This record gives sequence, structure tokens and C-alpha cells, in this order.
Amino acid sequence: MIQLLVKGGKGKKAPQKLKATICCDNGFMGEAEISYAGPNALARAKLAGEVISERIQILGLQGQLRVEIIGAGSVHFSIDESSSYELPKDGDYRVRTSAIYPKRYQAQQMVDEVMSLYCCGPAAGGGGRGYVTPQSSTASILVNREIVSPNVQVKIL
Amino acid sequence: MIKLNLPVHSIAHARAGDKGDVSNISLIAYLESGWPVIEKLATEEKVLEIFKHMGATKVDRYKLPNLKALNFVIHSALGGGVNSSLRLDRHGKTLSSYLLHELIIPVTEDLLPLKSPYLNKFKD
Repeated sequence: MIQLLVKGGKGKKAPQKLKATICCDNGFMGEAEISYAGPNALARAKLAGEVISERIQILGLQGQLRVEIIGAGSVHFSIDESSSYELPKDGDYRVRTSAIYPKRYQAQQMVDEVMSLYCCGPAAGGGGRGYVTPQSSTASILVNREIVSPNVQVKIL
Repeated sequence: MIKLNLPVHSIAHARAGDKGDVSNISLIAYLESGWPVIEKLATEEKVLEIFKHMGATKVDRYKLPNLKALNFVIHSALGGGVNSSLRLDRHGKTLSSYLLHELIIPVTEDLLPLKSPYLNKFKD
């Protein structure tokens, strides 16, 4: 058996305040996608992105609209930035738009605008999908530890 | 006159629709001169061959000469149709582009519409 001697152990008083994360409602995020493939697909996808931006402006929806082209470096560049990648002009590109608005109907309006490209957008857009998801924003604060009583609840839904 | 093998995209446009598991694709010549070309070369057999890997079993072709257009009714091409397909493009709306790309035809310069990007191919 080995015996160890440990010396100099120190401690501090438990902190009076604990770190907590608070969340509050932050509107609704709309996300929508539509694909273009084949001859001239990149130009058609870019045009779709421009059309959406313009129509969202005409609708008067305030807030930042992000437009990306999946297949053209979407995780590195938005449509407004020039991609540093070599992109084939034919191929398989998917336009993705996203924006956060205060009201659910506004996010839905943006999504509906992308879906309308089926009937009034560049040729042969397909595979449209749209989602509206409630958002919360978070912040860190310190709370007095007395108001916290640790417990665990498990709910089987 | 130089003849080049080019996608039918160079002389025609197309649009796809769906009904159940049937894909419906129109092929429309840009110019009057393109009409006899697609009429002759865009056959049911060719189109079936193009969509066979997607499950197509049969193609019916309808002619609309007054519109310089062909209508292809492609059976079983949509992976079960819009309500059961597992594909990203459940309606098959992008299949019009696929047809335009895959159907290769011999093209002379006079068949191309004005300002066609394919004009460059004849300059080389």
C-alpha cells in the first residue's frame, strides 16, 4: 500500500452569487431554400437571390436578410460577398435565405416569397423548403445564491 | 456549315410539372427553325433513356406545332410523387433543366437565338 501526504490544501468561501443564463423571446426566424441544377445553374441561383432581396424590400420587411448559395461556399460567403472559390457555372446550387423578424407572420411572408419562385422565378427552381422557428436570445447574469434551490425534474412526455 | 453536338438547351427551353408519380415536361423551341429539329430528335425513346435511372417506365409524347413545343408525359419518374417521394425535389421541377442538359443534338449556328451564349462555341 502506498501512502500519500498532501499538504497546503486551501479553499474559498462559496460565492455569494451564481452565474445564470436568462432567455427571452427574440422573434421568429424564417429559413427557406430552393435548388437550381444543370445549364447555367449558378447564374439562375444568383438571380433568385437578387429577386428575393428585392421583393422582401418591396414588402417592407425590416431587418437583415441573409442570402447564401449552398454549393458556392455558403458557409464562408453570403451572396453579396465574392467567393474565392472556383465555381462551375453549371452544376448544383441551392439558394438559402434567412432572417429574424418580430412576428411569426413576417417570417412566414419571407418564406412564402421564396416558395413563389416556383411560379415566378428563374427557370427550373425545385426542392423548395421553408421553416419558421421561434427564437430566444440569451444573456448571462449573476443571481444571489439564496434564491436558487437546486432540484431535478424529469418529465416523460 | 459547321455542326456541333450541343445540349438541346441551346435551341429550346423547358418547364416541368407533376401529377402524382407522372412528370410532365414541355420542350419549346426558341425559333421556328428549331421546331423540326426537336420534333425529329426529341423522341419518346431518347427521353425515356434520360429518365430511366430515376425509375421512368414509359414516355408519351404530344406535339403542339403551333407552339413549336413538345409535351412529354413521363411515367413513374418522381420516386412515388410529391406526397411520398424521398427526394429533395419532390415535384421534379428541376427535371426540365436535366432534359435540356442531357439531350444532345447536332446544331448549326443559324438555329441559335440572338445573343445565345452558345454562339461562342462556333468561334473556336
